[in-house]
Amino acid sequence: MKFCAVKQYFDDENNNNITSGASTTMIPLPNVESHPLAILITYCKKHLKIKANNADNKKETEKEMEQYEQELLKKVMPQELTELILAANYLNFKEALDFFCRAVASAIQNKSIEFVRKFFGLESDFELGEEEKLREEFAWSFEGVDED
Amino acid sequence: MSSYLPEEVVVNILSHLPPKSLLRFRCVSKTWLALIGTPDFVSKNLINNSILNTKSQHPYPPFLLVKAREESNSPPPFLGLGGIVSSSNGILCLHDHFQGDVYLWNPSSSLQLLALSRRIYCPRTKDFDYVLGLEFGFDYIADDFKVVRFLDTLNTSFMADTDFVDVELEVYSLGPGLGKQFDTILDLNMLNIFVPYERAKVYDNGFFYWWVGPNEDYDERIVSFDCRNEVFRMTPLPDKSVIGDCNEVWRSLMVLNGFVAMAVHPFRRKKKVSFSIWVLLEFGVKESWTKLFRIGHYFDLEWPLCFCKNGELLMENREGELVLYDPFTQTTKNVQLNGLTKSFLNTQSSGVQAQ
Repeated sequence: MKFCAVKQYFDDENNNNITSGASTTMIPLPNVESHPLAILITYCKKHLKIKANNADNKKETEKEMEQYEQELLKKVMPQELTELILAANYLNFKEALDFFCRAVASAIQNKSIEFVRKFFGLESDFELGEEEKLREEFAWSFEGVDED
Repeated sequence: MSSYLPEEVVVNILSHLPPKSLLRFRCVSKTWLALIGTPDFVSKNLINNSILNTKSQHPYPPFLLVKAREESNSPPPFLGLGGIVSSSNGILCLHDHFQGDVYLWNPSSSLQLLALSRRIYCPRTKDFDYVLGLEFGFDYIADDFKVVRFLDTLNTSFMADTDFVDVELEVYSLGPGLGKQFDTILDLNMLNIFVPYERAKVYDNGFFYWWVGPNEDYDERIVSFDCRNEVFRMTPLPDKSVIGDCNEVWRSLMVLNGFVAMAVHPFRRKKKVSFSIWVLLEFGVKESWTKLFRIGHYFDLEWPLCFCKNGELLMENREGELVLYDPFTQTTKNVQLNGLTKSFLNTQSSGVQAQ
């Protein structure tokens, strides 16, 4: 099972009492919204399906998965990515987590530090003049950055 | 966006970024500064990992060509006449200095693959061109071999002290069926390329790189040639106040994960020397030359050879032995090889050794 947190829940359940109604058990996931969860479930199902279709051919699996991922990214807004990451992290769904982290990296790669701060909800905690010095140190890395 | 991302997730995101982005993002916050770190190949931080890892797509690791002492039973007839140019993907490129022929040879099958060409007779000068330099490499994307030849069309290189050589460049690729194809002839008067010494050049995945000394028009620079698009680019070196004068200090080129790397070390004058290792993080940008680390003289090393995947530097010491230097621990270890001589060439191949 890909959603390791859910798997953990089932394992715990089985340890406590033997229930036959596993399919109707409601698992509380307080930290996940329904929208990202839906996307993750679709992602997971797709991944398993592609894997089953290309049982022996790892390369084909990777290729098809990449195509699906490209399509998926077109429909997802960059801001949603953070929610997806948090959901995947909470559910302990490694493949999706890595994928969405890579997607965020791609999205911020050429952006300014102001953009990045806004995106992650961070603020500068440098002393006066400290940031200036840092900017000078690798000044060339600020060339060719996307406009905000 | 005020959702809080745990640190391991931030590290996951940042680990996919190239060095240029990471160096810029050091300024985002103190936490990010600590996570990203300084490029120095000392601590295992994000920036050092990024220099080592983010670009690697090569199916074949770099490999050394070793000229062994023992003679093989039936060496190919042309092997005695010329020299080995380089090796790539299991094929050796050999050059017959006298006749001017170039051969590509697969040692494991002992078959001569192709005699590339004879000396070119140039109608303009009514003389044979002298081959100044020859480069060879395998292009993974084009799935083809490339041979690049520099021709001295006016035979000026034999004349007294001149930095100016009228040079023409030929690019050959082999194409399917290993047929010979003449790609292009480019006139390089503007770039004044003169290929000086063996270690001042390197090949990586479709790109040739040469160190070129200073002349009237240009400072010391690295020139790159993109084989696929047949485009030249240049990057000046750091100032000589920083890396020393090229008449006193070697510049040895290497490749580190797709970046051009350079070892700067003084000409040996009967004493041990130290090495400064630099990496060019963005080709074309002089300021992006970053000094990574320094190897002290007490290791008694002579030549840098090539980088291994984990950042270790393969080197040759003064006894001609192979040594692996680890910049993260600043220690060396000897590498055992049988029947080696002092001739190490820095090349890229799939693991075929010369006889």
